[in-house]
Amino acid sequence: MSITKQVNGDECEFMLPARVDGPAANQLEEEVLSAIRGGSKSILINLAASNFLCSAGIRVILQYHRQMKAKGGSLLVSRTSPEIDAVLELTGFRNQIVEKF
Amino acid sequence: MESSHPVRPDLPVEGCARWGEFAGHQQFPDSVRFALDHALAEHLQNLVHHSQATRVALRFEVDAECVRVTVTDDGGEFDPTGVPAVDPSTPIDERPIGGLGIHLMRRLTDGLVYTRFPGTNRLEMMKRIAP
Repeated sequence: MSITKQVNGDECEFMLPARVDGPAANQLEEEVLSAIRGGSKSILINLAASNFLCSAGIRVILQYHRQMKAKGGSLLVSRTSPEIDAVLELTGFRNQIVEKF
Repeated sequence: MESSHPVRPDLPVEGCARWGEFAGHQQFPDSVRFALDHALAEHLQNLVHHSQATRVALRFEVDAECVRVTVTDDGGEFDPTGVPAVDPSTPIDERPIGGLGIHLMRRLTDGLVYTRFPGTNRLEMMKRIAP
């Protein structure tokens, strides 16, 4: 399973696989860096298909959330499953990095 | 159930697959399956990236009250239970980037017990079985 992306102007959305483990987290970091270099101002990490998000994946999200915020952009996660919500809640990040409608 | 594995990049996948077989056979509640799957993946990922271990032994056990996942490795001494706790209430911009894996292992399980033996580390991760 790989990460797919959809680009619309300076907005970029990544669709993540069911299991966001170490290798998937590394791939996500490469994709996010590529999007930032390509000029994306808004990055969305779509977790609709994911039920596992390891700490390496959370680290990538946290690191680039900060970086995008500092540059006036945004990086948020969306469409989280109950399993992902539970893990983000345990880290204390859920209310800060999940997209609010 | 016991198994032995070389420490290589796919160790977390291999180890969690073994856990999935055991948990599926035992028909544990989803919450137990999920919690120990995640905690085991975090620990094995740490062994792959931060230890000099070459082999890992896994043991899965269950009794009437508790499921226990035991990971023994031949790396240098490292006690994950001695790592300072993360404070989840710290604002996001002030949080250290690292340490989340061990934090999740602590929060997802009902107990972590570390023992150092000559030449090996042993970590037991316990989870109570919900009534």
